[in-house]
Amino acid sequence: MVDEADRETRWAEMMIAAQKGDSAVYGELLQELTAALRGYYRRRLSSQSELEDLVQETLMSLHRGRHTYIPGRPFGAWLYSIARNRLVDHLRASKRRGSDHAQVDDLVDFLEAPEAMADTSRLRDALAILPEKQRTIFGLLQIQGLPIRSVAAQLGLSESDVKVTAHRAQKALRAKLLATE
Amino acid sequence: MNNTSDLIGSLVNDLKPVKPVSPPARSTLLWGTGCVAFSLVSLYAIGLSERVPSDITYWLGETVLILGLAFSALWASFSLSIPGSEVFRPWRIPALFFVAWFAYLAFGFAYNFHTHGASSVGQVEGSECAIILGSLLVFPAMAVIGLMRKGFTSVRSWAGFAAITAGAAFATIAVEFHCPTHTIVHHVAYHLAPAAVFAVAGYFLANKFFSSAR
Repeated sequence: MVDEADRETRWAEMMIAAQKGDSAVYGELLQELTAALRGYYRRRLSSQSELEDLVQETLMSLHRGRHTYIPGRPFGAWLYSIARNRLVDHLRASKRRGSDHAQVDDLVDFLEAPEAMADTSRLRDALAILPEKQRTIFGLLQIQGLPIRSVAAQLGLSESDVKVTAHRAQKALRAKLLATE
Repeated sequence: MNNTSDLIGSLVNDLKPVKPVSPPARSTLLWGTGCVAFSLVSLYAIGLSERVPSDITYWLGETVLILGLAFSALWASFSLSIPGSEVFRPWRIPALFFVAWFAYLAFGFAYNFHTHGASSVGQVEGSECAIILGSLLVFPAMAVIGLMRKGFTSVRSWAGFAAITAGAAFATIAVEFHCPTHTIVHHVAYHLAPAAVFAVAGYFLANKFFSSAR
């Protein structure tokens, strides 16, 4: 219990340094939080791939929302509130998708499957529902195969923004493709 | 995104200094003052009621309760845009102020009915109050939602309730001083009920306000 409190105090100090722009400390903090988040989600999820997806989504949320940590407040409450919200969103999305989601667990695998590659009209329809920014980024990354850094430079966005947008596009496409199965 | 280490690397590369958000109490004082100023400007625009009620203390008491509702809802809104604050359930305070407002009017209804008869409580006309309230709440509610979207809304439904309640309560303050009808039934029907309906709508529409905020 004391160790947990000490750990959260250290994380809080590291986050304060990260808010000031200390990249080295931030990297170390994210590594430690990744381990903690894996433990948190492992107790609540059975699928390893879902677990890693959630950890990554949570890390992106932490990154986007790092300014909402107020120094002096309990870091654990802040961290696990974000983690819990990501989990709730994930479970809601899973519920919406229904049990079929297991059939298409990874969009890239799905797109690489011969039957999916043959069915380009379905993919075209699915891409049509995406907002312009998501469609562009998805196309540059997944269809043209450009690295994130190049896409970010080409569009004048941060790499994090590109990753977040690509992730959203991937989720939307997955939902659309499942719905038309 | 296949590798968490790659993601961490890109997040670290993307790191820029950020200023932590202000504590909710400080934001509430700052923006609450701004919303009161908005209410006063609105009142100037729609006009002050020329009819001063005989029981002015009672109606000022109601305004104090509405002011409490407005500030507590604003505080709840800012609290709910900071992850971890939801454990204190900050929405309970504006919800209590709503109940207190209704209880205050119910008490006034019972007292006036008993003392002065049905005519003192039963005048209902003046539906324009609800329309004015609905129009005036848009600006403060949108401002609060905009500020909340800069944070990280952890309990969206209650955040929507709190934001719309704040907007409705600040709008009601202007309506209270504009309205020439000082009867309990009118205040319940065209001041409290619309504010409550808008607040409940905020609860259910919260996903629209905050869907892209996380």
